[in-house]
Amino acid sequence: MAASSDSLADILERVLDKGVVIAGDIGVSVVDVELLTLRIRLFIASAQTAREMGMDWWTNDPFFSPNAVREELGETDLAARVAALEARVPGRRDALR
Amino acid sequence: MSNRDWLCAYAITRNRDGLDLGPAPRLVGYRDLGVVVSEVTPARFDRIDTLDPVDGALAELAREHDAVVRAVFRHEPVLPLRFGTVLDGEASVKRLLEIAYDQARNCLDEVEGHREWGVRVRHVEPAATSRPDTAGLSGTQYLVRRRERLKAIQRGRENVGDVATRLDEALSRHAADHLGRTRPHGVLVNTAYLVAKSREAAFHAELEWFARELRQAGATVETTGPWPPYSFTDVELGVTADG
Repeated sequence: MAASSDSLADILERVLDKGVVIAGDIGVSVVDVELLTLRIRLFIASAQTAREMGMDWWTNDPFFSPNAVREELGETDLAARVAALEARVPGRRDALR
Repeated sequence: MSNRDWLCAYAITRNRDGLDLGPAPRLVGYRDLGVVVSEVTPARFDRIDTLDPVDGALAELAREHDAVVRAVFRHEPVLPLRFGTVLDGEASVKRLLEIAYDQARNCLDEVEGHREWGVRVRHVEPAATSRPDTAGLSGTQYLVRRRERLKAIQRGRENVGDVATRLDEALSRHAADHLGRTRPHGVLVNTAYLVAKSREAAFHAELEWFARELRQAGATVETTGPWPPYSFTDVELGVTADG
């Protein structure tokens, strides 16, 4: 079998998400946390390292990164028009008087 | 639960002599089945809970898990166990195999001679920066332009969707099983296929053909693999307390 060139993200996707689950008193799942929690922890833990490795797909995922939603709007005409309108509404950005 | 002899379990496989796993992992056998295990300190898993920014413990453990499963998979069929399965000594491993024997054996027979391949299709939206030239347009004209542009994007999406559907039909014909996996944002299709080794050439030829068509329709296709059958061993081995 050829050596796999699958990325860490691909490996995590499979290793953390699938496989035989042992139920009952015999199997002790030490990692007794939800997959997503694990994922988020991992990404908080090593986002910097991962990014250097080019494993940053979650940065565009609204689930992990609410800003991704804004970025989708970011370049559109709509966003520009909203900004223009906001600029014309008096007192929008003023501090409390 | 005693505190000695914790075993991290990676995969269920055939109990064969001479299965060379290197020094660390070993095979605990019961009849013609075996579980690949290695000694583990549960504290290694505890570190996953820390938020230390330089701690890639989970990545390291996941890579290890995958490496062991693959090492076995090079020689024998495997049922990968879920990451983080830790058993309390060899007696527990044997009891597990005893209880789950029939189910595990059937599952092994099903995946034997097959490998898993992943296929992802991403739709590449037209660059959002390609704005219509709004100079001298009335508001109504502008809105018409904008609606046309959105319609074109929608048509492109539907087109890619159609091709992706045909791709899946074609690939499924060469696969023993297939399964949709969770789709990260922006991924239109994320499917795992269980393919017999004898059908891999045909599977990849088909994939290549459709990848060209998808690229023309404005999408990208990524494949991963070959994998051990991670996505096709989604079974729960029930163990009762009085087992």
